[in-house]
Amino acid sequence: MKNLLLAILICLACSGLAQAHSLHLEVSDNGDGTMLIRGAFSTGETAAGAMVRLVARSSGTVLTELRLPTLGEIELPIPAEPYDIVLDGGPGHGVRKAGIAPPGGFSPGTAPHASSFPPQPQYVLWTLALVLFSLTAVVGWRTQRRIARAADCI
Amino acid sequence: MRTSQSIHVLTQSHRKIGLTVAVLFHVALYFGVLSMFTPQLAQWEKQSRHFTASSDAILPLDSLVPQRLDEGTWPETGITITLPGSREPALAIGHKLMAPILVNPATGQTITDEGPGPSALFVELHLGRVLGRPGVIVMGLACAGALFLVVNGWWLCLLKPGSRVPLFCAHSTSWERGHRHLAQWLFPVMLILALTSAFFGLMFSAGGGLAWVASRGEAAQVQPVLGAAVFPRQAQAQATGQSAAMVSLDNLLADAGQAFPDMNIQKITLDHWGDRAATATFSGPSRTRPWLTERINRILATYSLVDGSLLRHKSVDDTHIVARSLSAFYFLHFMTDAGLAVRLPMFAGGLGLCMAVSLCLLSWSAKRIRHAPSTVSTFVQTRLLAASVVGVLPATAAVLAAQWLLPTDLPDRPTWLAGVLYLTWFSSLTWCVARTNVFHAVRDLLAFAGVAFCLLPVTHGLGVNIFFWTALNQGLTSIATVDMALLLTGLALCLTAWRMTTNFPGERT
Repeated sequence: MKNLLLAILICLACSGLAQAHSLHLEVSDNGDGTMLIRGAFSTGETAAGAMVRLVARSSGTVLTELRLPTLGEIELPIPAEPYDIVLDGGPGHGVRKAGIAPPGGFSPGTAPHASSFPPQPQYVLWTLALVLFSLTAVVGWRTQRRIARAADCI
Repeated sequence: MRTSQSIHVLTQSHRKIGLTVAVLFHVALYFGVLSMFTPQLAQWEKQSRHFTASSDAILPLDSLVPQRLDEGTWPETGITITLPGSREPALAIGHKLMAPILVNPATGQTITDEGPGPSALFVELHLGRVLGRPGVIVMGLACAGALFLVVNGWWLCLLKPGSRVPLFCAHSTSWERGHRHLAQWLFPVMLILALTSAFFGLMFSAGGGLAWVASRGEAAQVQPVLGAAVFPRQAQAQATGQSAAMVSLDNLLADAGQAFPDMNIQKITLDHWGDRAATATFSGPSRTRPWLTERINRILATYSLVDGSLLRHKSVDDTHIVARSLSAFYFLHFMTDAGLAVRLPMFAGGLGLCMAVSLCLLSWSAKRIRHAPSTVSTFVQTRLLAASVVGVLPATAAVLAAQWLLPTDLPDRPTWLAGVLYLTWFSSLTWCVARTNVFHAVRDLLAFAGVAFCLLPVTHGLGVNIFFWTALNQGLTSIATVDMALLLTGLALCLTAWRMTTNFPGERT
């Protein structure tokens, strides 16, 4: 009986093995104008082979693009302008982080690009949802009153 | 006396737990039933997959794969080639960290994928992932509650066979009878679906917790704790750095097919392509025992890409018993490798269970309206239930129509599609509260959904200029089948709406 229970518990726990893994991006400053970028899955597996991109915030141009080597980490020089680090782990796995600044700070005159948050679709859809919610509340209140009046008449 | 007490306890628990989890379980179940046809829907919703590739017309792998591998920068290991099949008509060359390159196997042309469509959204809704981790946990709990309801309901039926004592109201309505009869007839299928749903639903969310307890707080994921024991990994050969000529992939595929006839080869994994240590691993489910090889316990055969020799073979039984048991659970729930003989009864069971949940909620609404027709709580509860359960039908039709009506180059298209589904679903609540009789609103929603489903084949036909008859003529069986299924669904909904006009309990207003 004990063994059976143990087998069931292991089975239950193992079903989580097939669930999606999340990708983690770690960036550390080496203090000498370079940084160490490390990619790994939440399972502990390295993200060797994942594409790393350094993307300029002002223009959106890709400053550097390369794959993580077998160890899952890579050392890169820190760009002089504000940038984002993008770790592309394929469909459903992508992490974006603001890049760390070089020792003397970012070069002047490279102001970050204005943020586009919130994105347009969410903005429009939430507004529509709010309108619909208000309409539902008003119409519902009126209908409920009609029902209550009709019940009183009976 | 003891029996009557048991019936009372069972009835009360069935009612209370049912009201708590029924709506969520209905959502999981409804989108789960739709997800059974994800491969067909995915082909229908993407114009890039509107082609037929008979086995005679498929180009050899040697003319499709090496060229693509030479063109791009690929990781050294784990390059996967997914062969065309009933789930995906295109040949996919990819890696777990890259979006795959899709190739039409008949013409050799690269296909541009349209991105996720409604079928992907249905899967997300089925799993509750649209609300992130809390959504998955809530769906898991709802499925566990549903398992209790299935067992508890069956027990009730055993204690009072042919009972005329209704669960909810003084008048045993046709809805309630339908709920009970469906539950009795489809009990085995319902039990399998509810059991596997609860299993996966809970463990997808709670597996980390179990791992944390088992490892005394050292690991928050199952993989590091049990993965090595249940799915041991073979030591991978290191690249030598010396280039070598690769043998023909087609010849290797034919050799693997002949050597292991039980293996239904679906995927080839390439490691160290172009190197002296290059290997190709052929994998797929078992033809004779697919329930033991679903998703996680594939049969494997690894060949050297330099001399074509067999390096390793893993059969169905060369694995941990937990992996095989888990595979059986996957088979019963996902049915990826199951044939029609398994799929159809499970689909019927899922649909029946969906209808049973809908009927019980409508029956409960009828009872509430009879007892307290004019209270605010009755008004809110009955409208919310109707909109949640029936409103999902027009919402589904709307998102499928939006797939063909929205511009293909619309930025952030998946968000717009999801928005169409949620807004249509919410507007069904607006319609429900606008009507003084909630059952009139239900009938209207069924009629709207019926008409919309009937129009979907036309919308699709206008979008891609391939109508039902042209799809059949061109051999696009999957596309034609989905068109026909949508039309039949629409007609069935219209018929149900028409029947409801003469056969339902109304409110007093």
